[in-house]
Amino acid sequence: MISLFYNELIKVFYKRRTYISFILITLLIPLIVYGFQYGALSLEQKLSDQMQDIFLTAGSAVNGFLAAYIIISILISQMPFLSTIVPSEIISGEYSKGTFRIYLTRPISRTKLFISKVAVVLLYTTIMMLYFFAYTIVVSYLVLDSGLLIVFHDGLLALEPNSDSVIFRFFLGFAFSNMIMITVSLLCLMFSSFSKNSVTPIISTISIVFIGAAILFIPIDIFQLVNPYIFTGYMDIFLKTFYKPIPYEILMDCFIVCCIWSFLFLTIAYFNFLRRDMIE
Amino acid sequence: MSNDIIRFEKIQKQYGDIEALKEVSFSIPENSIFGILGANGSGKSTLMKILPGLIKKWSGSIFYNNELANDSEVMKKEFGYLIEAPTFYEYLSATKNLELLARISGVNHDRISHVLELVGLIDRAKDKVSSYSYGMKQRLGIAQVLLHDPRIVVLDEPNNGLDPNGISDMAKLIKKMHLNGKTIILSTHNLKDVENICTHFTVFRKGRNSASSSINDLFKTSNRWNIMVDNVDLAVKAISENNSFEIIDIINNRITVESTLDVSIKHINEMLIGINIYNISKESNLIKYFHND
Repeated sequence: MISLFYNELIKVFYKRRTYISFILITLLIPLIVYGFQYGALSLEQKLSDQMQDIFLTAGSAVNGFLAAYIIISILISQMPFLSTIVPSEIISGEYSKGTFRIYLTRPISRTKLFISKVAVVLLYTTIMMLYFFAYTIVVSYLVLDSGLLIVFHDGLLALEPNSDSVIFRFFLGFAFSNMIMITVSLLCLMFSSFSKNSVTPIISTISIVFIGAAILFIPIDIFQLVNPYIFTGYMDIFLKTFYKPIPYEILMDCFIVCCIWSFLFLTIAYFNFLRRDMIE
Repeated sequence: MSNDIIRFEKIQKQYGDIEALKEVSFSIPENSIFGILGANGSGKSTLMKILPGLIKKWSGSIFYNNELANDSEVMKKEFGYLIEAPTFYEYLSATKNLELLARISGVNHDRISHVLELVGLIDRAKDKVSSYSYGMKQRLGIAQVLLHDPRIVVLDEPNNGLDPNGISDMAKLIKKMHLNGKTIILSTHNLKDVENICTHFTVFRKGRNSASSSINDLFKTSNRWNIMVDNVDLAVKAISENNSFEIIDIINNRITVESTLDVSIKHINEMLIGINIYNISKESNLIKYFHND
């Protein structure tokens, strides 16, 4: 089992496309953070325009925490694209290139191979999300320093870094956003188990995420009704971790919904992988 | 007591409405080079993929050493497979590819250089497989087959895409493996492969197969000869005067004849006395099996 997992790691991490997401994040975040630094005055003006009726403001509201908060909340909706890179071809790629014809003729069980592939998908998604969060926070902090985090919730909410546990909230945001991305990855893995190429799983997954996002944001009664039961309904869970108080019941709902959908996707993918004829 | 090592019984496989295999049954003797001959789409590769469990939905029984071995681990441990075109992780080196397989086969990594040496790829071991020619990939395919020193070697169309040198090298490799005591199962659509390499064979046609026979029997029962001479006109005259022979074909200096009696090379030499003969060879009956089975 460890050998299989190690092999899957080699297969994935020796491949250039695995690093696309890391390269994109590495290049994009500093650009945005520097954009914050140089556009700080106009952003500050917008914030103080909203705050002047309530607060007397002194000093700058633009700091590393605010930059990280805004960058993550905007880019998180793009992360499903990046989280499909590995799962999209982890099964279909081997099927279409025919490498299963050699690999599966060895004395290994398909169940164990499937588990090792799932483990690699989970690892890749988690590392990518951790890198995205940590890198954004570190770069933002290094360039813009720390300070009071002003977020949008019922108007404006000011969070003090220590007493309001801003770092803990970022961690919580990471944990639950990662759970969503893992569900997206497993959805992609499920499509990969059916597909003969690695493009179809990406298109199918992103289409579903796109429809889910539409359901999340279009204010129609029926959509509002189903929203809590679909995992895409929690795509903005990161923002909720900065509410005061932290809405733990929503986080718990997110956890349960993600677990149920992930289990469903895994089960379908597993039985399909087990029964699939490797004829390509 | 039969020395058959593998026995197929009533193997059936359907792809939708298409019956790829229809009650295929035959046996493979131990330490033979067993050819599965058939045109493209005759079901050879489907059978090859059933052996290691690449195809899951099928019916019938496979016996290995007289024990039922359907989808059994023994079919992977005791067998080495090269199914269709050789496929590898192209972005990895040959060594890295074999390391992946060695790790899951419980094989010592020292064996990797041994098998690469055997197939003549040791100098390119560290190069990415994407830089290999097709022939080199095919040889790497053989290396991966031999990695865990299997008792049975299964090769599906191993000569496909190879140039004449590659085909000759492959034949040498197969014979070498056979001399080392391995049973070889070889699928091909080329009659010459079966005649030149195999000891036994069966013919697949539209998902069905003939009874297995030995190549020796195939030549024994044949009365067809190819004779190469320097003077075709004189040879034709001599053959026509002999009631035991009938001329089937003449191409350049080669005359194909069929005899009504059981004749030997000696008879032909006597018949063509005074004519320079370059070559006399018996033609097998395989073509008849291929077309009429």
